[in-house]
Amino acid sequence: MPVGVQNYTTHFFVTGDPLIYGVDVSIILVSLAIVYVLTRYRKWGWLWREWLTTVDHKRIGIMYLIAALLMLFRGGVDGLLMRTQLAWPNMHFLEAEHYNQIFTTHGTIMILFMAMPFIFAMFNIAVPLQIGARDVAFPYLNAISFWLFFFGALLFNHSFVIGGSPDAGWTSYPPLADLPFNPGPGENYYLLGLQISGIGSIATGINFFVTILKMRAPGMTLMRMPLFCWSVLAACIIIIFAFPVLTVALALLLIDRIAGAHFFTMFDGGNPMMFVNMFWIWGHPEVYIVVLPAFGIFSEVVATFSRKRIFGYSSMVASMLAIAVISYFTWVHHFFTMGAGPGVNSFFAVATMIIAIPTGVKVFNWLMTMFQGRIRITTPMLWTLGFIPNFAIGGATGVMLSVAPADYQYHNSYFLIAHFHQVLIGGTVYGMLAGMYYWWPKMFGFKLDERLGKWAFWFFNIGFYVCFLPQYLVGFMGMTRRVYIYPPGLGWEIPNLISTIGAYLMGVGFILIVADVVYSIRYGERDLTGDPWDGRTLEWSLSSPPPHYNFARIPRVDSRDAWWEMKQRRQRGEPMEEPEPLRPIHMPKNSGVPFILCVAFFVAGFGFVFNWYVFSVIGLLTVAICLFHRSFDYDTDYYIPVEELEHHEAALGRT
Amino acid sequence: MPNRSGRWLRWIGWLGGCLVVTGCSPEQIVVFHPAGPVAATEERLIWTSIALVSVVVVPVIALMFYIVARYRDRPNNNAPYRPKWSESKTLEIIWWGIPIVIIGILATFTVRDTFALTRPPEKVSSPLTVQVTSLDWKWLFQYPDHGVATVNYCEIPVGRPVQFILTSNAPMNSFWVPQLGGQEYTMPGMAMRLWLQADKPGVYTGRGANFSGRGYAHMTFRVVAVSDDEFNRWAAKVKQTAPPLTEDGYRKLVAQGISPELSFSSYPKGLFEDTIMMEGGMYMKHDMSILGHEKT
Amino acid sequence: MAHTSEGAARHAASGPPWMHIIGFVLSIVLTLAALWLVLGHAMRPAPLFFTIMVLAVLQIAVQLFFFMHITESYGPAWHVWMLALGVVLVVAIVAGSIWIMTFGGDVAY
Repeated sequence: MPVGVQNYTTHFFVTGDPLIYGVDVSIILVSLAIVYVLTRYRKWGWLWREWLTTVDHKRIGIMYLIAALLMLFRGGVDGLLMRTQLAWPNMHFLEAEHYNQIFTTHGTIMILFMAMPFIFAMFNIAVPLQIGARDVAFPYLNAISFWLFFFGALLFNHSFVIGGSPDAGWTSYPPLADLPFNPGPGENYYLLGLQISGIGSIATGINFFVTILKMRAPGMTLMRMPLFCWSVLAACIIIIFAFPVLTVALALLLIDRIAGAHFFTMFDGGNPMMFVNMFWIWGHPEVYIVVLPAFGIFSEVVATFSRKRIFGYSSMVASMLAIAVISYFTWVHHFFTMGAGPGVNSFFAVATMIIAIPTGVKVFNWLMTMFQGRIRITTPMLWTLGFIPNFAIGGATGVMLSVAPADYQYHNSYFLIAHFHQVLIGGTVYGMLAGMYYWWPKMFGFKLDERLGKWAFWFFNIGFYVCFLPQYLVGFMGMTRRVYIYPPGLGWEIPNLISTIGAYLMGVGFILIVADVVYSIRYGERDLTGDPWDGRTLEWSLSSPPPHYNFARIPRVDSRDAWWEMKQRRQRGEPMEEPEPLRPIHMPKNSGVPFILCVAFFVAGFGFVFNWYVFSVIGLLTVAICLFHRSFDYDTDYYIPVEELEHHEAALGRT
Repeated sequence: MPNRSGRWLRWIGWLGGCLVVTGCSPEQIVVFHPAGPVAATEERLIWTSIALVSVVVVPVIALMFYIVARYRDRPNNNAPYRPKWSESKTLEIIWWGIPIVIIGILATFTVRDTFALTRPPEKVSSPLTVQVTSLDWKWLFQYPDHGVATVNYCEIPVGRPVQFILTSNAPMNSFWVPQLGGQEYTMPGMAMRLWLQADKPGVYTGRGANFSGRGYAHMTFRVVAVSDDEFNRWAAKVKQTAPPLTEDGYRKLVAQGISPELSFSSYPKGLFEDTIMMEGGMYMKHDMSILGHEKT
Repeated sequence: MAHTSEGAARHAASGPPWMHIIGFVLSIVLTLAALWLVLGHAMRPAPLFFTIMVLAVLQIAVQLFFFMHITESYGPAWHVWMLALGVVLVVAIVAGSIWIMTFGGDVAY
């Protein structure tokens, strides 16, 4: 074994670092506090009945949202620690081992445990309501997806205090991630955490794909769907085809590590570059998975707050589908510099550039939607407007990066770091925050405070530019990613210092968002109409929050912007159709099995991390029992009787 | 107002002062100060792409600010409002068209230079070969023509193409000397070629660009470009004065750790080829053909 | 599971589920054939790879027709479109990977 590589297996709990002791203490305190509150207010049953066993897409969406915000916090703290270490040359705030772990967890958490649940939160909250459905196609599977994500993320986060965090980068290239260079359990945590949550992601992709194709309200043809649903459909197509590649890559690397196989070593016919290849076959489509739903949200927000139809609907749809397909033909641009030859590089460079065309078209369409509209600058709109210049610059640097020979100078430099933060934060995070502010009243029945929201936006937005623009410069100065320390005299000091200041401004922005949530829970404007933004799509036709069955009567749709058209007709005083009589509603039953199933996955994963196979066997057996139980469980649904429906609807003030 | 702008000016002055004090000068933007034809080609391509993407980006951002200012929802805003206007063939053709043209131009340059950079920068009969091995966490350079080796620095003659043959005896890394040209990965069991050339004498900083573990941040090296005569004198001097690199010495070098700059008057015969073979190169026939070409 | 699908219900009405039985037998035969070819060193590597790939494709077809109801659908046949897209992407990924991984081949020297 190489000298100097710390063998973490001998230490179960991570010791010797005051920062981690602090975390240990706070984890214990927070856990005790939660247990105390739940016991004191007799909320255990409520927690189990209403949340842990729920199959309601709205509740699952809210749980995804909470998890995403928590992970944004953890990933953000990781980012701030890194920026603090890099603020000045020769800092000794963090040592190499610690820094390496932090950038690994930062990347992994932000992509897989923040961006993914954030988009799934939006899927769950908005899609069924927008297409006029009562739930997703497979509600039980939806619950399994969430809990798989949750326990995958929980397993990954355990590495911080038990066993040690992974430290081979979020890309985890072998040989560095292979056993000889990385003997500790950290890398296993990475592989299993991603694997478990990845299965959930595939299931979510299938679930929403089927939901959108099969569960639309009568009259809602595909070309009448809200653009957000189109973006989800496109993202699901990518998920269905891309995630299995990650699953296989992670599984093979895990087999290399725990069973001594040679898929990704140079010996016995393996090749480490194959991992790089497979990782990016998933990895590049993945960035479109997280950014397409953001495009969808921007399309909804822009149309609503310009009081205008979305411009160029069909070319928006075409561009999203084009992106979904072309995104499979660009993966080599992540390793142009691995010497695959000029033919390969030319092909993938040109394919990468081509994907910029539909993306650029979307930006023009958003602009033309605002053109000759009536623009209301609310917080969701502010995040959207913040996104456009951000994405224009990020997209431009993306095109620059796709120029293969020039990429030889950008690759692995801070130019690249600045680019992908600009598109992932400027695209995905801005998009999800816009979506969160937009749908918040629909989820919770009150608006988030606009004043605090605007402060949060400006801190975050200005902080963003202060943080990342200097990184383009420092990349041109030759600074490479993942260095934990740098000497003075290279001219890197000032750009890095400015960048760190910007990172803290973004941190203030995040705190203000949290403050906004806390403040608005008490003082936020209550949404009594169900349509606080004067919306255009069907979710705004319901009360806020909607009843658990969503639609008492499934709406009939005969145009795009269905709710907007209904409102217009009502305004013109056209006679409304006589409402149909209520009928009993078929609903899925709650179940605790998804939760138990995923706890079992967690136990099995934990066993694999430490090679304690007893745990693995117990966990996997439990998984099998749960699946068996589901196969023979016929008591999965019920009907809401008409009297109960009438009662509910009357309570909501609707007939 | 004057007070306020005065404060801004002072801030800018302070920042500028800092830049000067800390020595943040334009020459430090190494990618834009190429010292050889490869880096110069890449720099030209970077500026071309910046110019081309600006054609779209600048108008988009300007247009956004204009539209938001013009069409705000204010009571007395008399700008036209057309809530149902949502299609325009002409406009759509324009903005599908413009990016297509821009991408077409950029793609042409990209493909041309991608192929060009795999060939030696200049047609000279005798390019210099330097074999590079990335180790944990240091760089080993071998000169097969001279039989000498160095660690963490290398000397090259000015005005002569140098083919760096890259491999690794540790996790992957990436060999990057920004002022001479872009990087390429070093991978265990594989040999890859990177053509570089220095046109001006000088000392250029190189560094490992792909994360390889604990000591990765310290994997910098110097590339010293000198005249042909000086280069030969240097090689002769190393040959006479430096200690040899023994097999045992190489094993010590491979062990994880950071190393100062070192010179060796000789190295075990076939060390580079053996390293590749030992790391699994026997499975990589294509790379072996690069090496085979080498020996002839 | 099966009882909810109309196709299976039809078969159930007409005696034993022959479709499932035939599919099950076929899939096992195909698996055993591949196993035997490899364990018995029945061919030289190149034809062996080819034969196994053909068997794999047949296996996919068996699964799709006998168990995954590829021929049944209500409304548009989205699953067939997705399958076609899947085939395109898989071919792209496999062919692309082979092209990439045989690198160094067209470096001019």
